[in-house]
Amino acid sequence: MDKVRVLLDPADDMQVSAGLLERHEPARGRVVVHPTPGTSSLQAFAHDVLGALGRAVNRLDAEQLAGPATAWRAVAAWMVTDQVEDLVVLRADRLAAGAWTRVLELCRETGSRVLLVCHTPQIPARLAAVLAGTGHQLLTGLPQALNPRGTHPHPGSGQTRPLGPALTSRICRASSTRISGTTGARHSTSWAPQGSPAPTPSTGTGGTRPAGG
Amino acid sequence: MSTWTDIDERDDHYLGLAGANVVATEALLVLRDNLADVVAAKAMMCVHGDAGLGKTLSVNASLRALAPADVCRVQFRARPTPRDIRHVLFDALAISGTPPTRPIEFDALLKDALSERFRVLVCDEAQWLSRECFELWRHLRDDRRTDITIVFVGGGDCYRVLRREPMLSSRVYIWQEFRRLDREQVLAVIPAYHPVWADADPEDIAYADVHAGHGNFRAWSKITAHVVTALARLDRGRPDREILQWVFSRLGGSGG
Repeated sequence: MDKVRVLLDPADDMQVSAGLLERHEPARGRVVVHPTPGTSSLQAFAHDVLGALGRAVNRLDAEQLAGPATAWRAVAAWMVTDQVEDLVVLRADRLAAGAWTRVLELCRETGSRVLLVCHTPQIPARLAAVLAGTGHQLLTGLPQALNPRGTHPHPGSGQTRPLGPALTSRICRASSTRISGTTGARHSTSWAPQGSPAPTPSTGTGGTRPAGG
Repeated sequence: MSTWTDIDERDDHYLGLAGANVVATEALLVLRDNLADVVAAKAMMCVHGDAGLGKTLSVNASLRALAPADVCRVQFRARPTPRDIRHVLFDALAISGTPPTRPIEFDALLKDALSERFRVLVCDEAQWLSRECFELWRHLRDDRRTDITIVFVGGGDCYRVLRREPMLSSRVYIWQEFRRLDREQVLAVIPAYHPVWADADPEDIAYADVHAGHGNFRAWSKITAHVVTALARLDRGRPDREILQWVFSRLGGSGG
């Protein structure tokens, strides 16, 4: 439960953003997205998530990830591959409703928990509607947001999460797309089969995931 | 846009006034302490106040002493967009190659450059910035890899513009307002400001301040430039009421 959480940060407190960014640790399943200012497209947001996942954002064209569909498929694939348990989205109040919809779909498909951070006194009305039916939890302080998952273990400790058929299909499609990692990235760039343990962190220099998964 | 390397000490002074000195006003002394603290904290600062009060000169002079090799100064004269800021920073940081077209790639490049070593980014005329522009500065500052201090300098309603942005209110470590010099301060600093005032009668300095200076350094720069001209033409050693009235006539002041 509590898969969808919204943190209100009405003072836009630097400590909130800093505290969450410090928790960005993809190797442990925690990814914090810090959206690029001055962009509003779903495509740009997909690239922000890919960047947070450690993918090289200066090779989007070369990796054929410029388009929104391929970018989101890659996001879903890497979310599962990296076994992302917690996805935090800063500046969420500045995103379009479509981006919220896509994030909620993504987390539903990947089984990840999402924390949407609104640096506003309340959830903007245009975004609140997206949350209908999600049973979201509203948080008002950083300590709540930093509260660990309690007894919920991280899959890196040996557990794996089942994939829904929709996601399996997405990953199969995405697997035909080459995805490279960042030079010196914290991630392995090798393909991890479904259900396998988390890839071993490496300092690889941008290897390519073989097609076919 | 101008970068720090384009600016020498002469450019600090309005009109590039020859012989002008940086004088140790109370505001300048406080600014030096404040900048030292904000640089040490790698935080954000806002220096605000009406035009002509010496904000930019004081920031330039202070940082020239505090962190001469680390300053990157950018200035905007119209309402910039985040794209403008990215390009200005690209140039100011002397990043090689072609600027990327995608904002995310551009920001990644800027963050790489701003992570290489510590820098003080001075953003002058900050009152022109929009919320989206402030978001970009905040984004760069909040990034865990970047190693920067940001100093916003602005006149007019800069304070109001920055204060209404919670993202800045919570992040600006020090706010400093520059105010007009009061009469006592004028009498203390103007003789040191330029040699033409060194031997001037304090009553004449006060007279000039009442009618044209108004405690504003930019106004005093203009007065001084005209006084220099008048003294040269009349071959006199120091300003007097007659010279000051001639200066006022050029400035459109009351002339008393």
